[in-house]
Parts: sequence; structure tokens; C-alpha cells
Amino acid sequence: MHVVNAAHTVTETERALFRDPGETGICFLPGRGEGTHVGYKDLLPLVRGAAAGLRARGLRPGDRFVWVATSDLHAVCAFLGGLILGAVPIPVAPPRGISGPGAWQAHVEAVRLALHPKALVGVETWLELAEDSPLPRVVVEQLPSDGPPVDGDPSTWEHVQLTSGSTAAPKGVRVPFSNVRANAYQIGWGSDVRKGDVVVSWLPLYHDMGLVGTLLFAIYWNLDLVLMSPLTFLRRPRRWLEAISDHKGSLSPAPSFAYGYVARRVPAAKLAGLELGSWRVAYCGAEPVHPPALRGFAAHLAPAGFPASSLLPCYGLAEATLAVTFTPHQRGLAAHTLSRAALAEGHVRDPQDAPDALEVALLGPPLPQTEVQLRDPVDGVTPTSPREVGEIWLKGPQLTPGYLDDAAADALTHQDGWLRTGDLGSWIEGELAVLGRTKELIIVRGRNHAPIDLEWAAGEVEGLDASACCAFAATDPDGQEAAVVACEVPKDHPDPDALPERVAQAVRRATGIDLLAVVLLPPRAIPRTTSGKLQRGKVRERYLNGTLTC
Amino acid sequence: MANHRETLLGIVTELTGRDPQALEGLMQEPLADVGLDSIRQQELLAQLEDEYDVEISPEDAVHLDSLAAIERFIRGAQ
Repeated sequence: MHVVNAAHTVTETERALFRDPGETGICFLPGRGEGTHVGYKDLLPLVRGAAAGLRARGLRPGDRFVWVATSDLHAVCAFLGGLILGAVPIPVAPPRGISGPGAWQAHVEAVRLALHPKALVGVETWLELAEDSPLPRVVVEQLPSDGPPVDGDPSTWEHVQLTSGSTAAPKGVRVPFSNVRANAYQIGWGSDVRKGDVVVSWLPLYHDMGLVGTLLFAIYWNLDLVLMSPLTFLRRPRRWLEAISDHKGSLSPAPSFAYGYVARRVPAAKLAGLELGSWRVAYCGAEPVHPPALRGFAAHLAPAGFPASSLLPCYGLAEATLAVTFTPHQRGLAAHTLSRAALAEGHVRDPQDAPDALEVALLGPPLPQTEVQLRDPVDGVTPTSPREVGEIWLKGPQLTPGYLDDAAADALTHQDGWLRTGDLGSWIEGELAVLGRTKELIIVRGRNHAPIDLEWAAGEVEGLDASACCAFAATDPDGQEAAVVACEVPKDHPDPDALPERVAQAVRRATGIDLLAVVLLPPRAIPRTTSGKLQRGKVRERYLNGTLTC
Repeated sequence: MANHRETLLGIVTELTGRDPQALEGLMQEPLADVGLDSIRQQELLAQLEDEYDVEISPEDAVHLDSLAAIERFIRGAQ
């Protein structure tokens, strides 16, 4: 018999994903025009169909598959269908024009060799580009639109989040569904989630903030989700604001850069007709939070009704599923000014004067059931005293079990039930402040400098932007470690010739060290990850091999 | 045809700060070497969509990996 009303026949297994499938669901918003709303009750048969289709193509529980993460109905159903089948989706970014199809094919091949998936699953358009891959291809548009109810063991479900590894050597974090549920619950708690909330997202589904923070979060809490492609946002950022305005969106996250991007790309004159008063939580995470960018965003969008109290900076990482600390709901941005000179020696102190002042965002206390410890970055054991900088260690129900097929990485990061994050931080006013990363430390004359200190100093030079400056360690002619700053210079800068000296002065003022070199670059020349993080290692590599030039 | 190139290079100049003459020499180079990362590239495509009243789909966009390819695409779309 054909299933007449899926909601009445939902299996226990399926309820682990869709608690109470009804009209609430996902609105798939295209680049132009109206969206298509699919209630979770109508999504369920499609997810069953996808599960049956993947099974018919030979995928079994525990088998991994590469999932080309696009934000359309068919691709989303394939991800969910694979998940409830017990197969393990490995989301990868779709091809992007900037690097061309060749680079994408190479990335898929690198994932195949490193992580041993059994199939490549995605929309036809992108699979056509992967014809040379030895992986069997499954076109999501061709998966059945219904299938038998699914029975299985949700405690075995998991997906993989590709993380810090390079393009050539992908590294994947195993994310069991139990971690997803735990973190979705915590995020809901931190967001004061309520019935009728509407999630709006353009975040890529190959990124944890998009996949866990919006898609799986909305499904977990049975909320409406308005989903658009990241390309739509990048091309037409006003679409994000329109989606929030049109759908009365209340929960919508973005990385720090996106807030600055909107303020730059959507001029005040284009805000007419937007009503953003419903936007209750504007999460800001995934990269260091730059207080001036968030303040600028709130001021720019205030005429459209955006409440500054909605800004919610947070801290997290893929190894902890997504979220670790949250600023209090409806508090808004809180920042603290500290001494750069003291910070370089691992202390949190008040600044001595204006040039010594560094403003950092406070990222809130740990989410419920989450423990955060600060420990000596070298020995990894000694607790850090108050007002000192330590390495962030954490523990909680969102802590993932480790990396896929990478015991060496596990041994470095997972110790006695704790995760060693590689991030540096301190407690300020009872909240976590992230103050750099151990791996990117620049050590000059025995003093530690987080690159971001130098970058923010350089960003204070007139006409430069801290998020477009990159600091890294190099070696001076005497063989001593020294710092280099590379800066992107806007096209209309009135006096670029004077910049190297000004940057050197600003850094010298802020940190007390002399730069080995200042490299001036055209706009957008600094490589960034797909989520917008500076790739300091890559910049350093190019500098060292002489290819970092204008 | 010359006009298309002029329009294209005008927009790229605005986005990258490189002068049109320098860009002429980079027509065949990867867009990253022209100073266009994935974000600036989307800005460029949005401006071209408005300028020529065309829609540039992601599957078209992935093949637009040089200024020459973009110029050919615009010419074909007209």
C-alpha cells in the first residue's frame, strides 16, 4: 500500500531525526524569485527514497560516501537519507570558479585516497565534472521520491566534517549523530529557542556552522529553515536580509567577515523595505570576532530595525561538533580592551596607553554540560592562573570521538576525555576570550606574539583593514625568528609608498618588535579558507619561496 | 566586442585596483592571479548580470576561470 500520511507511520528510527514531522519544514530559496517550502512530513518520503536509492546502489551502514554539499532539495535529502541509512556522508564543497574544475577533481580524488568513500553523491551538474573519478556516481535528482520506512540504529549514525587539513591531505572529524543532538540542544538553550522561531541560512552545508548549526539544528528543534546557497549571498548579499525580512527570520548565523561584507555591499539606500526586527539571534563565530566589524554592522542596519542586542559572538570548532561557548542571549557584543605588551608575555592586563590597547570580543561562558579549562600551552597540564593566557581544553557531550583514520592526530588532541584545541584564550569577566592559536605563534626574542596582535596593529594604519593583514613568522639573516606582515592595500589608497614604514611603526608601537618585512599586496590576494579564515601558513610558505608579491 | 572587454576590465579594475592595461596582459591567467578570489568573483558576476541582464548559473560560472573565458561568455550571451 502507498503511504498516505507519512506522519502517522513514522518509525522510531526516523523519529530520531524528525521528531514530529508536519507542515514546518525547509524553504529552498533560489538565487532569484520565490522559494519552495517542503514540510518535514513531505521531506520524510523523499529522505526514505534517498535512503532506498543509496542502498540500491550498494551503500551499506558504515560505508562512507562523498556528498557534494549543495543547498537544494535533492542534495539535502541525499545527505539525510544516507545518514539514516547508517552510511557516513563526507560533505565536500562543490566546484568554485576561482580554482576551476581541475582543482575540484583533484580535491575529490584526495578525499577518495585519504578517506576511502564508496560513492560520490551529488547533483548531476557537478558529478559530470567528476567523470574521471573511479568512484561510482549517484545523481541525487535520480533518487526515488519515496521508499519503505527506515529501521536502523540511530546510535550508529555519523557524518564527517572535513577540517584543518590541507587540500592535498584532507583531515576529517567524525561527528556521531549523538554529538549533533547534544550540541543542537545546547545551541537551542543558548538561543532561548522557542516555537515559531525561523532559521535563515546561506551558510555552506560543507561547513559545520551551516550543516549542524542551521540544517540539523532546525530539524532537531522542528523549526522552519529558509535555506539559500552561499553563492547567492556572495553575489547578492541583500538576499540574506530579504529572506530574514520576508520570512520573519529570528535565528541566523554568519562568520565575522559576512557582517563586514554586508555593510560594504548593501548601501544604506538599499535598506529601504527591509524589516529586521524579528532577527533575535545573529550568531557570529567560525573565525576571530572583530568587534569594530560587528559594531559597524549593527549601526548600518539599525535603520532597518536590526536590534544590536541580537549579536551573539560565540566560540566553537568542528572537533566539538560546532559550539562551545555562547555569549548570553540578547546581551549583544561585549568587548574588552587589554594590553598588547602584556599579552605578548601571556598576561591579561589593562593597556598602558592607546597604542598598547587591543580590543577583543568576549565569547561567553561554556554552554551547559561543557567544561572549559585553560592550561599551560607547553606542558598541556598546569592550569593557567587568572589573567594569564592558556591553551583551551574542553570536555562535553558535543566532544567528538576523533579524526577519521588518523590515530596520530587523535593522540595529539584527545587526552583523558579532554580535547586540546590549539586555541589560546583567557577568562575575562567570566567569559572566554580567544587570543590566538598555539600553532601560529610568532616568537621573537623569547616573547610569544599571536599573529592577530600584529594584524590588528597593522589594521590601525589609515586605509588598512585588520582582516586583510596577515602576520607570520620567518627567519632573519641572523637566523633568528622574526615577524613579517603582509597587507592588502585598497586600490584608492592615497599613499601606498608610505605604508611599509607606517605598518612597521604601528606594529613596533603595539608589540615592541621590529618587523623583518612588510609586504604590500593587491586586494583579496591573501589566501583564505572557504569559511574566510586567513591561511597564514600558505602566506608564509609563499613568502618563503619568493612567490608572495604584488 | 571591444566594448565588452572594456566593460569587463572596468569592473575588474574597480574590484582589484589593477589598471586595465595591466589586466589586458592577464586575460588568460587564473582569476586568483588577477586578484579575484571567490568572493570578488561573485561580485564581478553580479555586476555583469546587472550590466547585461543575463543569469550566470553556478555551472556556467565554474568554467569562467579567466578573464578571456568571461569575455567569451558575455559575447555568447548577447
